[in-house]
Amino acid sequence: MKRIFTTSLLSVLFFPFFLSCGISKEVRTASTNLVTKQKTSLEAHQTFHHVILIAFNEVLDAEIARSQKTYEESLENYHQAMLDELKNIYENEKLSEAEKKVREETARQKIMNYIKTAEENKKKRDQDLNEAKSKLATASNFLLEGEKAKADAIEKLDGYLQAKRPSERLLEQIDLDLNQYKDYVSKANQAIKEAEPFIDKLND
Amino acid sequence: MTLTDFDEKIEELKLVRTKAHGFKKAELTNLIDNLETKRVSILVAPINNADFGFTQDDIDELKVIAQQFQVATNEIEEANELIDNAISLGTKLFNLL
Repeated sequence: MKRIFTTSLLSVLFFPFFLSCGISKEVRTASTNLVTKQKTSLEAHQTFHHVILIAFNEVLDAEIARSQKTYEESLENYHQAMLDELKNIYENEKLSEAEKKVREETARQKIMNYIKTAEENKKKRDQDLNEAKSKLATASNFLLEGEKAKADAIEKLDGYLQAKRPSERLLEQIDLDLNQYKDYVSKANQAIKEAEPFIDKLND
Repeated sequence: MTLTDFDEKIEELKLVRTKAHGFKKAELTNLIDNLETKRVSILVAPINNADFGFTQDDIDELKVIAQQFQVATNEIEEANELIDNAISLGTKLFNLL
């Protein structure tokens, strides 16, 4: 009885305070919806990144193949250019053998420099393309990791909002006690009613 | 120059190269090779120079935020447990009276 009295008194005194400390149903529902939407958003991000990465990688792989083809074509053309030069030199009857040798060596050096440039160009192209592939993968990974971390934070925030506040728990207990009190009073009244005829007889 | 401009120029030069000989062919090849390299640089520049503005620090910060909410939830649950225990203990004490 003391407990019922204490909890009832508490409920009267602190009822407005308890109400203000709780989280409204609307906020809790909104929070649950936010968790669901964030999950949908995360899945959409994952699909989008997956598809875009595949498409971009295909484009970049095609560029790497084109780079290789460019290099091979350059080598082939330099080789052809060298043969043309050799033909010009050795078909020139005005030149002495020594002059022909000097011109051949000069031409070879020039073509070798072009080949060196072609090798450097290929290296640069492949480096740029591979860097782009790597950067896309890293950026996508970071953004998805971020989305996952955000989803987790939202889920934890939801957990915090859904958790019953101590004030709500206390209100639940009070409600439980009041129900027990009502039951007790009802039973007591019934017992008094049943006992009344006997009491009347005793009084007579 | 756009990528299309590069492609058109390269195709034009390749056509001219088929008719060139000797050093002229070599010079044109060098020009085409350089244009191909420049073209790739332009193609990947937006990606390679991009700053996506999201780092490991941001991810770590989000993890800390999640952890803070988890700690706060645990604190609430502990407080609820305390209330339950106090009421249970109180009930037992009253039952003894």
